[in-house]
Amino acid sequence: MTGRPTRVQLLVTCLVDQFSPRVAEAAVAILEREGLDVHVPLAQTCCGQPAFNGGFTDEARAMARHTIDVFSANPAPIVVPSGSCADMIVNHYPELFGGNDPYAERAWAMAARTFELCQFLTDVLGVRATGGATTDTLAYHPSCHGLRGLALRDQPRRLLEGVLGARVVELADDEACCGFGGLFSVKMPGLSGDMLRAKLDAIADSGAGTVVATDVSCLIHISGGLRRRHSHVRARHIAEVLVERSIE
Amino acid sequence: MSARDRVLAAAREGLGRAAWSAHGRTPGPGPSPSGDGRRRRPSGDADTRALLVEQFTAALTALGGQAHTADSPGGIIDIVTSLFDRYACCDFISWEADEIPCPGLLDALASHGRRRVAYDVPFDQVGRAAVLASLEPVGIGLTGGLAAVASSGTIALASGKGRGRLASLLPPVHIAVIRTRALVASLDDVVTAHPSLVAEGSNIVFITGPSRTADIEMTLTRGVHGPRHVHVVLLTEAAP
Amino acid sequence: MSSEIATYRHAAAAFHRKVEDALADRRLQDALASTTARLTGSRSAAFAAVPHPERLRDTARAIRARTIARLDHYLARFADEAANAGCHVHWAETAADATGIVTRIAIDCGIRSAVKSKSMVSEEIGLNPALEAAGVRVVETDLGEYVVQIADDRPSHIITPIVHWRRDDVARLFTRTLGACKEEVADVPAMTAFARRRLRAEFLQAGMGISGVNFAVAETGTICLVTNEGNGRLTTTAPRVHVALLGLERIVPSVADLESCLQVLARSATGQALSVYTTLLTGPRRRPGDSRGAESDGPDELHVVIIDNGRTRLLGSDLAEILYCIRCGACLNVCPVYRRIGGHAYGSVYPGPMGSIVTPGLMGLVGSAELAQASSLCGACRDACPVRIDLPGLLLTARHQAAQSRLGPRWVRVGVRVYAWLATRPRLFRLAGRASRRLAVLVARDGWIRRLPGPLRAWTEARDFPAPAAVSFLDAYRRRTRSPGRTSS
Repeated sequence: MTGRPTRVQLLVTCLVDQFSPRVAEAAVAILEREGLDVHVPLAQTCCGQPAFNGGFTDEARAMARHTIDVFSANPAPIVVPSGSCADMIVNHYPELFGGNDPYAERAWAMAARTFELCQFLTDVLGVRATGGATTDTLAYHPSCHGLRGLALRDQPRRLLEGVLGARVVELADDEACCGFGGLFSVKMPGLSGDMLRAKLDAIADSGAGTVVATDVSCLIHISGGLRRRHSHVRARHIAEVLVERSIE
Repeated sequence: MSARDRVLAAAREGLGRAAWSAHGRTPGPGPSPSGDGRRRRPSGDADTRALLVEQFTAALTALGGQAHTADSPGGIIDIVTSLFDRYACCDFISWEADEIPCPGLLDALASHGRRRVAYDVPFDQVGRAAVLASLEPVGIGLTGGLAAVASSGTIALASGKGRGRLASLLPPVHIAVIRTRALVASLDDVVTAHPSLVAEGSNIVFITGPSRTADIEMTLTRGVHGPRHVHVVLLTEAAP
Repeated sequence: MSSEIATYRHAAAAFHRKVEDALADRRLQDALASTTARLTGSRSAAFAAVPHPERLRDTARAIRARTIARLDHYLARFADEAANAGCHVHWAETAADATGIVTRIAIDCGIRSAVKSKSMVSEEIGLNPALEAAGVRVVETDLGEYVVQIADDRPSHIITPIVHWRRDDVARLFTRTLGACKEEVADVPAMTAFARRRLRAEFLQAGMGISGVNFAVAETGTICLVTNEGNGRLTTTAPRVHVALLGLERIVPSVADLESCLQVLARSATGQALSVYTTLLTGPRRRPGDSRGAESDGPDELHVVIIDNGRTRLLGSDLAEILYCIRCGACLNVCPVYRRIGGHAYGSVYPGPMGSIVTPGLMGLVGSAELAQASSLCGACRDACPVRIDLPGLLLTARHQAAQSRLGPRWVRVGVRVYAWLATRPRLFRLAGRASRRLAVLVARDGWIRRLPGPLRAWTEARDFPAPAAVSFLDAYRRRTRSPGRTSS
């Protein structure tokens, strides 16, 4: 890709689509504010990560083919408001197709132009501040797949620091997994619940009013735990925080 | 077909199946091991040598060992005899005199009333156990050394004729006398300096500080099986 | 139901039970948390102290990769060189072969008691029971392993075997089983000194020393052994016969390669620049008449037992990369799952992320398929691994193998299949989404579901589940873009 892109495609992700449409709205708004033409392919479904992580490679491959088909019609870069789904496409799509598979080449091509939202804003567009503002104290939880699969470490933090009025605090042992892990949270509920407990304790100790993450998956997990604890801390996707202009 | 043939055939068959490419993951060869880019410090001149001594001393001290320096055999003898006094030690085992880079050391110890227990472990079990048991009460083991590594506070000892393994192992105190000429910056320099390292002895041991364990509640304790006290006496020499 | 499925279910149920027990054990939790945090901290510090830590890891990985890719060649070379150096080299295809070989050596040499320094492979092959059955007493000499042995317990960590013990437990054990007096168990140094005295007596009279091998050098036939306590040195010096057990993947081509591997091993395992004792053994003690001069001590005989026990099969499998493992334990210490359940729950000599691959790799998938499920795939292990093994990738491979063999709950299999079927049919996917959203709204209160149905109920044991949105983003977007006068939010 050469020069600053003028068009992007949004890969909404199935969880955002079903559970947090406002995250996609926010992502669209942020990208449009940057002057980009945002295209949302309507035939998109799920990237296949749940099947892949469960070891169901054939099913994952079928879903990957579908996603590649849907996004290959347009050469624009693909932006994903999820480190985990972006990691699936960037790192695992190419693994799914052997050299002889007609999709191998296309998987590599898709991987090359897919970006997690913060990564795209920071590394591709060079955005420092998105124009968001808040009076809240924010704590950032780095989701594992973005952190370790995409080296998504500083970008979200820098964007949060660009939010007007935001006070950003650190979580203790911030890089520890929240315990979601997809089916892991259902298959090993005790373990997953104990990992969540540690994360919730860290959030409580941080004094943050809002915990921010790049992934709705972790946020569903964390917010469900906060809710069970009757905590007043909110769990929000970074796109929502970056887009919000009103001072509460 | 022998077990060796069967195992090697199975290994070849496994490699032939070359399953590396599962999910496209190929364990690549990576960079060549010699190309690790670590800068090799020159260790010839006196300044570098002093720096290495300083580094070695700091590293060994941090591990709970002690480094001493002397610029003459006389200095070494003073240090070693005072260590014998400190540990109130009478009997010791050691390498042969010509394997310790300090002429006169063993004679000096003898004249101070210290007794060197000579041994040769016999080749039968009963005799062996008896000799080992007789060495058990000995207080100090005295050795030379093949090399010392500044960055980690390590000394390297090679076993051989006149260079027994037990001297650095059995007694609670180990004193090693090493020339600073043998001091190198890092572990790979030892391999560079001794290209056929393992030919130096059937048992090469790198000793990095006193014996230690942290098995119980991660509490660091010294001297669990090997020596609790490690003293390295460095003989500094004028540049040739 | 096939017997394989039955075996799988039985093992899986046992694993889940052990996980729950471990989670309920507060003392274990505290011990694990503090030990793993310390080990992780010292590992980071040790790597930070070298100029190019990442390059060091690259080098170590390259060495492992190069070796494993030509393992047959290096293994044969090692065996030849070891024999040239005066070692007796034995080959064991199975665990039973290996224990048989060691037992026969013991009997032939008239051994009645043996001392052993910590060796995971000896645990793997079940050596102690085999030797005891042949009338050979075996004494573990690593302090942690010694405690494990006299308590009839099992190690729970590959580097620090008694993470799960507290000092009071050790004091009680020494008093009760060994008759230690009060002063001898007053504190950790006193207990350590007590163990030293007891074990020293064993070292001096044992006829055989048994050790593992950390690395074996192909070009010289040298075996390398690493310990901190010095028990490894005593085991390989004091007894007349030394038997070294070598898992056949632990080869490095040359002495120069060894150096890089030793550096990452010590730094990863215990945060040391180098372990206290790194011993390179090339053949037994040199006898009178040897042109290089006779040695006054050291073992008269050195036997090396090269052990396959599933490794060559693993070499040809999709899990082969795990053969790069140098058993440093770094992946255990960073794993949020290991940190909560400890080593015992895995029901294997090899716990943690690497164990979840090694165990099915060596023992077969059916009895240990569930281990790979116990991971959130957070990837901390891959970041910690000094030879950069793609552990999450291998866990996924193990999961894939389990799915292929139908080892797993049926509802997951069916659920994933239905989900994938729908996800490749956008219209149906949308309809299904709409239907489940409607359904969810019925059971939700204030946008939250307090109890999910069926197998999903497990989720709501520890947390609420959010109700999905009334209208999905794509539905709303479609409506907006198809109607004129579209506005962006």
